[in-house]
Amino acid sequence: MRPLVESGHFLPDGKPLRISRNLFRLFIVAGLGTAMTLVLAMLASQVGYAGVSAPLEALGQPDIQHAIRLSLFCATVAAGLALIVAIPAAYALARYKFPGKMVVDALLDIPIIISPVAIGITLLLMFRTAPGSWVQENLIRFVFEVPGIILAQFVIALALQIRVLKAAFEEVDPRLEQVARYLGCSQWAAMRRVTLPLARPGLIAALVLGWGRAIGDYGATVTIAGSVKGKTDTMPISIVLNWSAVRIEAAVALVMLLTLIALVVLVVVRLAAGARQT
Amino acid sequence: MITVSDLSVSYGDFRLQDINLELKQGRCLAVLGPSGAGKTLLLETVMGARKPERGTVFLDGREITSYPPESRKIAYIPQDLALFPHLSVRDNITFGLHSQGSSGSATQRLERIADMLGIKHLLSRRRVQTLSGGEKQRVAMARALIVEPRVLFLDEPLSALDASTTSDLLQSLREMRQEMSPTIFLVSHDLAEVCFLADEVAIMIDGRVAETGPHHQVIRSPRTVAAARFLNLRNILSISALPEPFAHIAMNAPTDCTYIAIRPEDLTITKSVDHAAGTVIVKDCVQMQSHAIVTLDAGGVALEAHVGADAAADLTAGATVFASVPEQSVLWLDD
Repeated sequence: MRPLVESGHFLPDGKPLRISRNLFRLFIVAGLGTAMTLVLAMLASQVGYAGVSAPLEALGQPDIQHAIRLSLFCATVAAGLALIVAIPAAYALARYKFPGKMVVDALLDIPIIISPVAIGITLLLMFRTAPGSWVQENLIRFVFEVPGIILAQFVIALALQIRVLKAAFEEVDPRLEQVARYLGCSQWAAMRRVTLPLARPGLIAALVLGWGRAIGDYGATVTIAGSVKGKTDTMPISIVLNWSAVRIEAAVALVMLLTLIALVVLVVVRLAAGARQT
Repeated sequence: MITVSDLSVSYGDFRLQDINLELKQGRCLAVLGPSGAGKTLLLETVMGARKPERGTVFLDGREITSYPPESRKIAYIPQDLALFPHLSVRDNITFGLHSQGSSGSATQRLERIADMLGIKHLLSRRRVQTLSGGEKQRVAMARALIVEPRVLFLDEPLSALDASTTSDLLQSLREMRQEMSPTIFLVSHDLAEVCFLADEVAIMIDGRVAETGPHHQVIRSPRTVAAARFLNLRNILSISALPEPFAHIAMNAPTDCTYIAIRPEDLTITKSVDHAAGTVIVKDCVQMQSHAIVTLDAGGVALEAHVGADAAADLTAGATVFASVPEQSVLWLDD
């Protein structure tokens, strides 16, 4: 009979090597398995309830088409604009020392921590102030309008993008930028030719995560832009509207569409980034 | 030509003070000093990465103190080389040409530089990470030289390489100097590097230039105690407390000198009675490959002498011997 522990296979502390290895494998596989099982069970429940053809059928409905168009447009604009702000902000946090940096760093994290509804309420309150009212009346109307959706999603995406990009810029050796400067690059050129290409995985991650948070947001969006049918009903808002009206099939079809869009974007971006390990 | 006048700059608690240096066209100045002396801070200030509190930097007669680094037409090879990991070998080398708008003649210049440095076969390599240490060094050198800089700044350029690669590259650097005659500002703590490359040497200690001059003069015969200590000169003795065998030297001391240094190889030891020499006691004798290091006690003062391996054979610990030094070999040092 084969012994449970082969002789000679012991760790320095006396524990059997084979058992230690197997326990470690079990730990890793259990973690990955649990995470995957949960996601697959959720996807299977969607398909099980509405059927594989439900998203295609839903695509034929004009209000769902509107929700998809609006969601894609708002999330893309919000994540794109947020990235333009996040790049310099994250660069400043990663590269420079300045008074109150720790406080600034913590303040910028607030939208990640507080609930999206709280963000929406705060934005609403902002537009009740004198400068906010002036902006509403003279520049752009945000409350209960599409720009309000973009603003809410911008705030949510921005905080996340700054966090991801700060880590990405910290990974880029500042000496490489210095050497680029000595070789004739301006600060702009050093960032364009050295920093941004080297932070490319971080940039893509920031864009994808920001976009993902934006397209999936319900709380902040509904609070500032409301759920005006045919106007401000993004996909998450449309899901809740259908669910509340007991149109369960339509709600589930939208959930499946949202899942599908997210999956396609995540896979395409990973392929584009050349992240082979994924 | 580069001229640094009364330059002062701080970094945290550390301060460089009143630095004055001059580097003529086509020459190589080595700033030599121990770690923490402020060499890299000086280099970065002269290159424009740090703003000085006081003083000026002139390049070819034009004041460039407030110019950003990219406007100085310089090149830099840092200690860690800092090759761009996202670019191929070819793109690394031509990086500066594109920045300075000279990409028109890029191919010709690239061919010439790669040929000179023996790296033509590396130009097709896509990843600089796969190069050996010596190859990376040559690519960094090509990247710096291709822009034909007014001044080439080198920061401990060979410190990360093994001995045989270092010696090959020192030879390459000498050949490059003969062919291109660039003006070089070198920062180093390595004497071999300095002896191979430098025309002039400035020794920096604690944020100040302790001594400057032609390299053979400064390295062979320093004039200050700080420089002598950095150069690891042995037998540095205060003139006011010279041990008995060398007490007579004090009579001829120049007025501004307070210390002397005696090179270990200039100290003569003999076992036979020598009335012109003083008695010392052998404390230890270590046989090296080509000579022996003898530690002596001269009235409570420790001395080091280097003698031939044969002469050291009968020098045993505790033996009384006679030590002397020719007066012309004594180095007079200012505190």
